[in-house]
Amino acid sequence: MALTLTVNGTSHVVDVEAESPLLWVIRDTIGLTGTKFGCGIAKCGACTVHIDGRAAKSCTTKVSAAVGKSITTIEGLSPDSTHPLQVAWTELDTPQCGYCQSGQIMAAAALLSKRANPSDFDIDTEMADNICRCGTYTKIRAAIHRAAEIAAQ
Amino acid sequence: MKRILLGIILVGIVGLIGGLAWAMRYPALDPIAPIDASMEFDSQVVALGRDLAGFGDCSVCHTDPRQGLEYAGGLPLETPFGVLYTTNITPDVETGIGTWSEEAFSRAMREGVDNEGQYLYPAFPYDHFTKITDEDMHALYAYIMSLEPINYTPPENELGFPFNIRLSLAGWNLLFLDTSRWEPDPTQSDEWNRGYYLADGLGHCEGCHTPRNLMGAEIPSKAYDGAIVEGWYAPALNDETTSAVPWTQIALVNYLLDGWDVDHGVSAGPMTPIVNHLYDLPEDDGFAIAKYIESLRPNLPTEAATAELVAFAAEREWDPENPPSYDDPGLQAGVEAFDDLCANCHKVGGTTVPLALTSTVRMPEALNVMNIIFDGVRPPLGARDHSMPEFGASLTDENIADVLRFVRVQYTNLPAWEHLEEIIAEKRENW
Amino acid sequence: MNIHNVSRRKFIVTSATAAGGMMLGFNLPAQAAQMNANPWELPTDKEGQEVNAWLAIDPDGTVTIRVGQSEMGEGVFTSMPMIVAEELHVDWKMVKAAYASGNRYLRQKAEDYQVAAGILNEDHQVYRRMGTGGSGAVRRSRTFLQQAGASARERLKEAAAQAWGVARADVTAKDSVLSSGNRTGTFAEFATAASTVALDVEPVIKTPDQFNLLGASVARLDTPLKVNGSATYGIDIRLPGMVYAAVRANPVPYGGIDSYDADAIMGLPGVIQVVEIVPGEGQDLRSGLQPAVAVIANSYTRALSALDQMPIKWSATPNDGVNSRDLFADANAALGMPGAISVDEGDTAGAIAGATTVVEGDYQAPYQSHACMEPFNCTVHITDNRADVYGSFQNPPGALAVVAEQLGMDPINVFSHTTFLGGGFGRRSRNDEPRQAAEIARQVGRPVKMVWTREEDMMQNKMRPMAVARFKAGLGPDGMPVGWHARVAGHSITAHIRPERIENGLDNSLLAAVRNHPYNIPNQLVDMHVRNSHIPVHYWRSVNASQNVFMAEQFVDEMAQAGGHDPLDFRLKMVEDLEDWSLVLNTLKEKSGWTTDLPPGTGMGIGISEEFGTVVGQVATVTVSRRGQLTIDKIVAAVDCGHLVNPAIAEGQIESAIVYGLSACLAGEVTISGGQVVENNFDTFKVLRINEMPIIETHWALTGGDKWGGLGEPGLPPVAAAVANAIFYATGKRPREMPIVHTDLSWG
Repeated sequence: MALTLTVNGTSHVVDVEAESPLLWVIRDTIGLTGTKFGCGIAKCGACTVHIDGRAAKSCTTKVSAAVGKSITTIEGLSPDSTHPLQVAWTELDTPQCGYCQSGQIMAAAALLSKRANPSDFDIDTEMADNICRCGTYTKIRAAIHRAAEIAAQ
Repeated sequence: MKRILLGIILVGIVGLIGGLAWAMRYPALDPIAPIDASMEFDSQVVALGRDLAGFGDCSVCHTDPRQGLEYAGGLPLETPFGVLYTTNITPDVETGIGTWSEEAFSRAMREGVDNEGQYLYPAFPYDHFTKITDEDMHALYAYIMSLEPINYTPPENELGFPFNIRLSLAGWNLLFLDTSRWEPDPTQSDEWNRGYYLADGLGHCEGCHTPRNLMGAEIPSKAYDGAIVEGWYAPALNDETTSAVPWTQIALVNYLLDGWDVDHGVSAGPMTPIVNHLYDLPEDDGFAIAKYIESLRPNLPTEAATAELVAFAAEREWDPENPPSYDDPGLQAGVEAFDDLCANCHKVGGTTVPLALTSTVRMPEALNVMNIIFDGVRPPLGARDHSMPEFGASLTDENIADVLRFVRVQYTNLPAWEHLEEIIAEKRENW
Repeated sequence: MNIHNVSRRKFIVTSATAAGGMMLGFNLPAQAAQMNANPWELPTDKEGQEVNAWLAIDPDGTVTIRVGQSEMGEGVFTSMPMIVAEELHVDWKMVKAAYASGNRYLRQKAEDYQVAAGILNEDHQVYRRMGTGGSGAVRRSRTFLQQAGASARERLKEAAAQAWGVARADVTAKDSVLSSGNRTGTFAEFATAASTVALDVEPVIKTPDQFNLLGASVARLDTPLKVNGSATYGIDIRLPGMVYAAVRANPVPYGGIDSYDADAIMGLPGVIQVVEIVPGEGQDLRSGLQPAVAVIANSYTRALSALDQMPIKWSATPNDGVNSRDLFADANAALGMPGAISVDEGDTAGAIAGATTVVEGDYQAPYQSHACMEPFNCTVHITDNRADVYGSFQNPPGALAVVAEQLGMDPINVFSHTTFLGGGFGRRSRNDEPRQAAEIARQVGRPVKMVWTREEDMMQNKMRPMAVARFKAGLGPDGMPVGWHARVAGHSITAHIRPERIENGLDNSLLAAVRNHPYNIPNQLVDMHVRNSHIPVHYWRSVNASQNVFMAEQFVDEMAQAGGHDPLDFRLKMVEDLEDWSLVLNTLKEKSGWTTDLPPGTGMGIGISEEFGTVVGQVATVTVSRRGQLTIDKIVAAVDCGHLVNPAIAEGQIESAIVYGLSACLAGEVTISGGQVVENNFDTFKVLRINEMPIIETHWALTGGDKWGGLGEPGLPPVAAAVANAIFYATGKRPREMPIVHTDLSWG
């Protein structure tokens, strides 16, 4: 079935089943592999993307539900890693293995769009669906605060 | 619209009469010089005030989470009369209440009148704070005055005529405000009395759980009948409750302090900030509140009836090996959407409370389940591994309606929810 | 049907690498990266001049330093190049990192300079060790990496000296520039000449007091690739003509396949083939290959969807009724019987019999999953007499070997391409996934990417073993121990994968921290029982120590309490001759504000252990509500690993180990029911999330000298003990079982 998806501002016609998870269409059909597969049940956050500006777990989003909407992946957050979160993440050397970090950054971006200056509590609450097995949580908190600071400048 | 018009007329009339009688009653009180709270107040009194402010959930309304400035106000409160913005109650001299004397503070808390003698809107639950003892009022004042002053001016209220005329509230107070002080009920235990004091006074539970009349006042005859507030249904806490398993004192303590109970599930929506405040507070007081809330429902179902519901819940819980199927194509669409998303966790052998036992699926309104599907559940402080992701961006409105219809039929024997398309469309528009 | 296929354009087969590997061109982001998104490829496409196997210098001065370990978050892509660069005197900004070739490792023996320097002998492989594990990256590679840098530096100096007609001693090397008097030249200018220089004597490597770069918190080279999605993990590999495999093994590990109905799904969109994976003759548990069925399709979702729809009937196995309760009962029963003796010093039974006070304690810990964030996967491409295997390997030469074995090929014709690893934790050194992928690719005859679902990842996992232990000690009149008897019963990894190494039922690795603790106790007896089940097991971050320290260090607290001692002072007294343990304990005492006198519901607890040459002590502060709600407020760690290569990365490893350890200590576990793993995804397998994260403070208590301890694992074992001991002080209840969630902590 031919569906049209708008990912990072580019329109793609993809030939996939309507019920395919958006995650795999983004990764395998469109070829943007920055969005990761972690659990398939929306419990780890590695696959977080934005759909019309809201965070969504792409592993449990049917591709048909994303048709006609604007999808943003980690590759589209900024063209050159200059989004305040990417700058802060780099400044603090936040990632370890890095696998969860696309999802962490996308979830953090959705948080900052709701709360420009989140507290530790806000971060803990809003980021609780994103697992990091390397345990970079302290740095993630600090990097979100730093990004809020950068964005405010 | 008819309701609102009628309200306008009523308030107008009452305002006129009341205005004449009451308008001159409240003088402005003299501002005080800034005080150094650490010198002025005993640290134990301040600590008591901190706990009391927690029970009163003061910061829940007097903080705009988007700003993150605790107690500096600015939170928009949507009322049928327009949008109110909560005030800055930090001791900032310019924008907060730094010049308020204790007398002014106490008057505001109990009579709904500010330092200048201006009427406050009853979204501020002074009609409950009348119950606060003098000693506790002093502690609250001490705590609030010891906060870090924040210089922040919240936005102007957006109220239409005549609600923007504060004098009209004189009439409201005349009709609805009972300023008499509270005395313990000698026929009840100390624990119950303490619970009543905290829940009905400072805690102002009724503020959400009791329906309001056309003029926004709680209806005493419908106390704790449940009401719609901020797009959520605050469930009935009395015999009107539809919850499956009766709320025992310990279940209420678990829920109120930790935000989760094994027979009822996790808190969500506007209740989560409340339980997050209670989390840190003295456990004894939590037990007291629970004792009182438990007493609101004198007529418990029989044990057999409860057992039947528990058995029903076990029978209806999603079995991945043998999922339900319905002839009705709408319900079957709900089954499929549920299978894709919800059944990953809400299933036999999962770690969630059986759906048929959760209070939300049994409520008369679909609002809460719908909100949870859109926004997920943020983990309460006392139940940090209980959360649910947001699915609002992952589902179409049609999917959400399908899931809601299916959930109601699969997990309850209660009447179908109504107006699903309307509430979903409204939610989506403001999302 | 117009498929806007970006990926097709991205993947152009460009050239064969020096090692003969297939090279895929990837459009790099515009920013200057210090390494390639595909870390197995050279970071630049310029021809570099190799000075020795560890480093090559490009004409523009870029120095590629090869890394033998796998980057799974522990920072080897930064720390290993730092060690070479320290000696090379290269301008750090010109350093780029790439993986060493696993194939070259197999084909080439030690280089002459390595042998001449006495670092390796002639039989060693050129990269000496390429596996990543045992917290060994710095600990076990530092000397030969320093030597590689120093030898290259001296050759560059010698080449310049010869060109300029001066003595090598008069040439200095600094920031990639060689100079003597008023002559200067770059490393790049002399790289070719340097590669042919023979030195009479190999240089002596620096001692820590001479370090400039080592000890600095240099920024990680891999970070830029990990904030924009460009870092390539195994699961991201895409090859031209590639098909996808979705796999399902018998959920009872190693159980067989009764039947499956391939015809039922062959008509589904994109389905190409159904493959049966059956271990061959002589392939036992050691191969790691489990009977499984795989559906091959032209997309992963199609393969998975078809697999879900295909009727499969698994064979009944003798293990279908195995469950955790029985396994624990069996292991606990073994604790009542004398076991294989590991330590027998003095007269322990006599000492305990004559003691003033006798203390006893039983403990248990379950199977534990690794739950790497990146689910297991592997991509294999077989052509005539050659195989390329792509994946997230902790042990690339091992991956080559199993693929070669499965395909009946000579390993030197197999090429591994190690990507970034989305977590490893020991699991990715087992190499069962390249074997399975190779077997699938062999049957399919085209490049195949095999990906496990999270459920498959956790049900085919090779677990951290379960274990139980019983401790018994006697205390003298002064409350200090006179005898220590520890008995462990548990699943032995060695008995599982290398049974030939078990003699008389003894596996000392099962006794980590129980048999080799440094506490000064005159009479000690340590014995054990192997109790293996059909559940496959493998190494896990600090493996046996992760459970044994939870047990032993709680028991040490029980002894202290029974003897009327402060638990921290008690430990200090038992290690008074040991400088490092004493320093760590005293640092903890000072930095944590140590006290056992806290209000009810609040407690501080300590745990300490030494693994891989590093002593780590931790103090946990916890709060427990009257109803038993546990909050971990703070963990203070004191660490002696001797020296630090990169303090920021090192601190990250301690934090990381604490978080991983907390997950297992608080709520994470694998239980077995019906012979199968129950917790097969993150809904039931609980891991620590950001809102449960305590404050963590790391304090270095470095004794220096010859100590170069590891850092990946040693931070883990103490945390569970520290938390459990803190809970005891908060509530009077002792959690004897991991995970702690099983213990009712309500009090008052």
